[in-house]
Amino acid sequence: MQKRANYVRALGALFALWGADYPAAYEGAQAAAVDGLAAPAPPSAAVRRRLEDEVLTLGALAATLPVESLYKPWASMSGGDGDGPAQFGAARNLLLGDSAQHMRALYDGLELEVPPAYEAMPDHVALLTEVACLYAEAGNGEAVRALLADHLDWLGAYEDALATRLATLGARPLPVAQHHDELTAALAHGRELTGALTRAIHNLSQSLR
Amino acid sequence: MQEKEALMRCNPTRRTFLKGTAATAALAAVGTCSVATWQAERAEAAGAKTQGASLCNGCSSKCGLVATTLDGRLWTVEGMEEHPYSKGTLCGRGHGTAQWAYSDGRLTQPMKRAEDGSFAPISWDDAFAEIGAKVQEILAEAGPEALAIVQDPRPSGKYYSKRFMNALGSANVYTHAAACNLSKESGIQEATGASNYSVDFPNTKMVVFIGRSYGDGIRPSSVKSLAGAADKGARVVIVDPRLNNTGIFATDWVPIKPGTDIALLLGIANVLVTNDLYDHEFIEQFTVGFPEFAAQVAEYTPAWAEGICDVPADTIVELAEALAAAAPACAIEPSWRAAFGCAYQNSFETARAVCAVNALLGCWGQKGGALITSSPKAGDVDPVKFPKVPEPAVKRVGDAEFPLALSGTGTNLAVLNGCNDGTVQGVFFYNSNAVQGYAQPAKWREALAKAKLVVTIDVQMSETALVSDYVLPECTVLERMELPEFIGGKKHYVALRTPVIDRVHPETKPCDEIFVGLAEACGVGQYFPFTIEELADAQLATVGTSLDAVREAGIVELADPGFEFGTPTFKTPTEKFQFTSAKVAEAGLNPVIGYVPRLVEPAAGEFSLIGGKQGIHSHTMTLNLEALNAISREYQLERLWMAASDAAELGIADGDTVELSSSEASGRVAVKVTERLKPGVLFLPTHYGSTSPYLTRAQGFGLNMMDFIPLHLEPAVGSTMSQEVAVTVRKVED
Repeated sequence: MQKRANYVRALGALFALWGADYPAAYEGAQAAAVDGLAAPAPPSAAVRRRLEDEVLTLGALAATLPVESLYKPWASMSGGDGDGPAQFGAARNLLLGDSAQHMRALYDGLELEVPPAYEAMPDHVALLTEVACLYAEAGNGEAVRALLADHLDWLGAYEDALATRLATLGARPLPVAQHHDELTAALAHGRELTGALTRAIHNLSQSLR
Repeated sequence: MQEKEALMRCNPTRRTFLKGTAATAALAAVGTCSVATWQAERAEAAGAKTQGASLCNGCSSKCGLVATTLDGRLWTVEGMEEHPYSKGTLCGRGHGTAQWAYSDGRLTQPMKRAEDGSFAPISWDDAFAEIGAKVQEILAEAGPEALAIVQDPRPSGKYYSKRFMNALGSANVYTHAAACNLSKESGIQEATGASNYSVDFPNTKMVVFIGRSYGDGIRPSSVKSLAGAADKGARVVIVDPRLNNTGIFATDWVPIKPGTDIALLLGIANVLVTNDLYDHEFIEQFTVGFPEFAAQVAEYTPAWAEGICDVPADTIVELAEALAAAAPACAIEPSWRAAFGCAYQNSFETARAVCAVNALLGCWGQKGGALITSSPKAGDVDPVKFPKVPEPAVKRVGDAEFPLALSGTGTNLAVLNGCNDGTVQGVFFYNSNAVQGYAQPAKWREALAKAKLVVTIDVQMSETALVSDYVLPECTVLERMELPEFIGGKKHYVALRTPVIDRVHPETKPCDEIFVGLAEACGVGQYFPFTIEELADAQLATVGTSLDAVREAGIVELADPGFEFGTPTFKTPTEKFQFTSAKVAEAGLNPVIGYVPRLVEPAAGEFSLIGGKQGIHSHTMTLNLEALNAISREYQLERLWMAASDAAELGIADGDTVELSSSEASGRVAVKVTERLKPGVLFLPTHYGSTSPYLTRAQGFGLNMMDFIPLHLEPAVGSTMSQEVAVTVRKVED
């Protein structure tokens, strides 16, 4: 379990911002690969930079963040005393939804702090996979199962979002035309990473049955 | 490596994004960490519910709202009962824009544009330092008059932007008015001495709307007032080429040729004067220039007016007689943007004509008529704690060329012209998407490309941000406090924006902090030695209240201004209502309120193009918001309206794609075929056609009307002449 969870963690980490250190992150993922699963090869520096700057950064040109809240209804909370549901409860593409609130509660219980850069994204895939790995290292299979089921079940929607971004890229004039090819490759690589992570999560989940 | 990025780095062999040692017992615990368990626990234990007051930022009305949070997260927003603009209701855009705090489309950190047009993050310190250096360079080479700021006024923004610019020695502070209501307010000011007025709906018997639609734009309270008047049997006349969404309250729809409302108004004036239906007492005691006006208006017969505006002479006569019968409990409504805020060459004069008709009806200050009320403002504060900024030595760019522009707003198109001729070299934009909305975007881009420095402060990467050298992210309204907002009318109030939720993105700032940072970097920080709380408290003390009191209540009613019905004091140079104006004469225009044609006359086969607001959007600001964008797409709200008879003639069916063209641009959009539009006119809602690739839901959705409009500035006023265009349309065959 621990090795499979560690591989999931290493793949989740590839969705963080590494800058010039990114090759080491891919090496880590390749070293952690298990059960014949193949970790993605590192892209070129230009593609990785485009992925980080324009896809994995909030507010960026092709921002498509692997943040759970964006792909699920925002809130199921109600006001209590029959006061009804939250105003945007059914909306998607909003940060700090229920999943983020639950993860904050988990971090509090685990005495973990969310770094400032993730303040608005406590349910970022890099953090989710890290927590899954922590539970696995503690031998808590039930917690790992729960986390996978509750918080890592949206990657299909994320890959769809990347695919949509890729498909519509051609129709959207970009400020710099020469970035188009790099951005196309970056989005395609993002889908590749998502596919690898999905397979790794499935592999981990199967092993916990 | 920036601090933010450093925090996100980790040892690749042993990652740690999360900080801390991870409580061992908690890691090992079973049955406690599922979402289902958590939700069940929360359902049983009521979440910490808090309420906070703020002012909506969905448009410039700034309606009072109450936001309720549960465990720190926004649960709902509702209109503040006591606020005179909301009266317990928030409009669609108010509810939609409340989402902004959590939107994935926000700017989250300062950005700097590279030479190739791409943007990269930059730290606040570096951004301030670089901007400060460029400002110093511009000051040294060209003086403070080469710097300017354009802002759509908000409580903090209007104070800090002016203070910042004046501290630099520049008087170049402009609002968005040239693309909104500049002509209307300047015209009303010239005639009455006040820049605006309101209709006394509770008592009115008849009201005529020229273009303005409460059902589409601004203020729930306006809709409620109108609904109340309609319920009481008031006659509500909509003069508009389009039967707009106020139609549900209307008794009459008068379809009119765009840009010719002035002819209708002068035709009505002609009937009132010729048939001796006007208020003699008011005219004799409280006006100047009536003889000259009466002599001139003699030629503006209903038949003459019909020939220009296409409203039958009989209708004009009937309207005039009905208004006279209802007088003084009647009025021509002042409008906002609509037909003469900034639309035509004759917009300023149309505003004066509106005022002239009200004068003839004797309804100024009367029950049911046109009311000029007062507004409170902060008194003087301690000049030691809040140092006075010296008046800039050089006049504002554009004031000489556009002397009739309201002094409180100026015309922001002077900035566009100034960039082109080198007079203006550094431009700041706050809460303003000038490039997309204030004049033809291509012209703005061309002008701003010549500037040495462009800085935009906004919450999203707007079209204006996209051409800026630096983009500084503001946090959204629900995350910030602002200075007090003073509200005028028959009663006076003061209200406040208070932070209702914690800042979502730590690298965003409220505008007061941004302007203070800019000021310090530009060497004028000594004029900002106070916090916003200190200033707010000091301002509120001058009106007999305090920051704590307003925070607690959300809105506080101030001392009774003592409004009474009766002829107001006209604060004009003559202290009377002005049918003639020396200032207008000095500007080279006809001093007597009279006819001015529109500039562009569509030829055969061409159409007039008019724009307008929709109830869920504000100009170019809101289209990227998820919920509001979804409504637009669901109901195809981006469509171009075309009259059924025109559509039939051109073989166009409802839903067909057409190509709309002017001398400036062409674009394709679906058509809504309707009976609610005068033939010969096309209507395009003014929220669409975003070109910012960062606004992914908005980019390429529909057409931006301003793309089609040639750049013209209204003589002596400087408004953008937003509807002076003739267009053609053809069906796009598949």
